[in-house]
Amino acid sequence: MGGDGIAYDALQHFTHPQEDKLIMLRRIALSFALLLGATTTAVAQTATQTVTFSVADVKIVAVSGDPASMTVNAGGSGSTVADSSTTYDVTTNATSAAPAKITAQITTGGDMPTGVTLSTNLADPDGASVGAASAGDVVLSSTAAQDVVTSLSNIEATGNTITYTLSADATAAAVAGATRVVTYTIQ
Amino acid sequence: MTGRPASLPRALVALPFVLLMAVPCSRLAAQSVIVSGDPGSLDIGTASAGAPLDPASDVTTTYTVTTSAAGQRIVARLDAPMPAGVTLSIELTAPTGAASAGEVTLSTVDQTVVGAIPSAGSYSSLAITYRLSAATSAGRVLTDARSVVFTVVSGT
Repeated sequence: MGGDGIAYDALQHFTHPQEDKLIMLRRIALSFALLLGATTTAVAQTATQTVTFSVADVKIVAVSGDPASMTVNAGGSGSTVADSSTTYDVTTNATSAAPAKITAQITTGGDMPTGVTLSTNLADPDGASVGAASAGDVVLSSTAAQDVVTSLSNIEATGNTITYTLSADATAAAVAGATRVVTYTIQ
Repeated sequence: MTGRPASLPRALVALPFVLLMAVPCSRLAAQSVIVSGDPGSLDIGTASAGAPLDPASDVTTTYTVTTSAAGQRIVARLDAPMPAGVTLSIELTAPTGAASAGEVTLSTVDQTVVGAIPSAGSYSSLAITYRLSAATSAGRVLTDARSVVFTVVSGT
C-alpha cells in the first residue's frame, strides 16, 4: 500500500492538472466502451443442445405360427402333401451393397426319416424381379442351414407365404407323430 | 492528496463497472432461453418383423424461457441436415397460455416449436422431447451428432 501511494503521488507531481482531466476522461470513455462490449456479448437469446444418434443394423424375421400336421403314405412313391397356412414377416435396413438373407434348418428332431423329405418355400417378400429373391423349394436338413431368401435390403414386408412340402418315396417306412422344428435365421 | 482527481470523476469511472454488473443481468432476463443440458444418445436398433424400425426418444432435458413482452415465441433448427432417411423431431411443452407446435421435424430452417407466449415472464423446467426415426432405406448410420439451436423471437 505504502509503495503504491508513493508511486501515485510521484506521478501526480509530474502531471499537469489539465492532463489529469484528460486521463480521467479517457478512463471514463474506456469504461463505457468495456460496458458496451460486455452487454452486447452477454445477451443470450439462443440456446443449443447437442443430439447424438445412431442407427444399427436391424434384421428381424418372424413366422405366423406352426403349419398343420402333414401325412403321406409310407412306401408310396410320389406321395406328397403341402401346407401353405403360415406366413413370415421380415424387416431389415441392410443395404443392397451388403444384403441380408434368410436361412432355414431343422434344429430339433434330427434328420428326416429315410425316404421322407421336408421342403420349405418362402415367397419373394418384395414380389419383384429385382431385389429380394426366393430360393424356391429347399429340402431341409438338420446338418446345415440353407438359403431360402437372398438379397434382402431396405424392406419391411408382412404376410409372405411359407409352403411346406412333405414327400415320401418307396423306401419310406411308417412313422407315427414325428415332429421337426425348423428355424429361420436372418443374417 | 494534492493533484488527485476529484471525487465526481472517480464516481463516473466506477459507474460503468456498476452497470456492468447490473445491465447484463437485466438484458438476459429480458429475453432468453436456457436448456438443462444435452439429451442422451438416440440409438435405433430394433423393429418388429414386417414393421418400420422402432424410433428412439429422449425426455431427459428441459428448458427455461424468459420473455420481455407478450407474443414472443421459440423457434428451433439444426446446424446441419440429418442423414438421408433419418428424421429428428422435437416437441416442447409450452408455457402456460402458449401453444406447443407439437412434434416438429427439425431442419436447418428455423421452425416454431412454441407459439406466442401471452405475457412477459419466466417459465422454467418445461419438458423437451426428442424422437429419432429412421426408414429402412437409411441403412446403418454410425454415431453422429447435430446441434439444435433454440431462439426466442418476437412477432410471427
